[in-house]
Amino acid sequence: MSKDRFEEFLTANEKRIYHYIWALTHHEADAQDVVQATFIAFYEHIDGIEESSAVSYLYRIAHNKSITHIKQRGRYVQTDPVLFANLPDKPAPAPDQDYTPLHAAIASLPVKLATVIQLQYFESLSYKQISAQLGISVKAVESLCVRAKKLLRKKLLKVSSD
Amino acid sequence: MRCSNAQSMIILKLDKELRARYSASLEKHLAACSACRLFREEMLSQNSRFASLSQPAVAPWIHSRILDQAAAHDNRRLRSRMIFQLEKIPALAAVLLSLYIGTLVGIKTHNSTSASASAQISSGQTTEVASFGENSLVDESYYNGGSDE
Repeated sequence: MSKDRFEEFLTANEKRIYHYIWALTHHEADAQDVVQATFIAFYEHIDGIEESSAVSYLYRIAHNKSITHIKQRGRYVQTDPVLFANLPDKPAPAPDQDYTPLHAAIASLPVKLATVIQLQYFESLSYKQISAQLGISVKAVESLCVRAKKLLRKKLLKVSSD
Repeated sequence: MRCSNAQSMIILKLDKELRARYSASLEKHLAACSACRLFREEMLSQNSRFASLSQPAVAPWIHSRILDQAAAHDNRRLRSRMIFQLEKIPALAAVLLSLYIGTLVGIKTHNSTSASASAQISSGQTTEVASFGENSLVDESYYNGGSDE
């Protein structure tokens, strides 16, 4: 992909990538940091990225960056003794108010399945459009979509039973 | 039809992606299978829950911030490329200098050897030159079985 097309690509994908990262990190400020890091990492390698698989590649970067960010957030050490004494048990910040078990269920899916679900549920794309976006066959989209929805159903049933 | 296949078809049907030729067999299965009917209801409810899910708005400054960072990245790369090219200049100068010094040393050595050779010739000290086939190292008596005759 050429650098000239980056801005157009950014405009087309920033929203969906932000939502995906937000679902993974549960936190607005973290999602804002990670989305910037994701697009910059994409831009650094833009010359070697095939146009057909650019969106899949972007989701993969977003996933890896989010996981790294979450791990780093967990490693953060508070040195002030007063603040340290008042630290909550879980180091992760509280999720935003909009965050629901449905978002958590999407975040727990493997990146390929989560990508398809994002494009299908939130952008209402047809399987053909998803296949064009991700550079895979319609059959593959069908298979991913079926697997993702069955997995989501299982997770949501488990959440409701808990 | 197995229930797992039927459930996959239900998902495709709800997404309006099921091929028409499978519809009749799916309907037949659904009429006979209560578990798959329940699955269809659950999937309908799941789809509507996800469709009504709110997504956070993207802050408008993120777009311009990313573009700024991309431009800064380009500048950094350009600067490092320029520095790399500047590093070539002293390397090239070193190569040229070594070639020049080597040439000078070569000319000087050549001149000194040719001067000493011409001095030797002028003083009458000539070296004996062995002609082809002549053996100057082995004594002739060696070939004559050790006798001098």
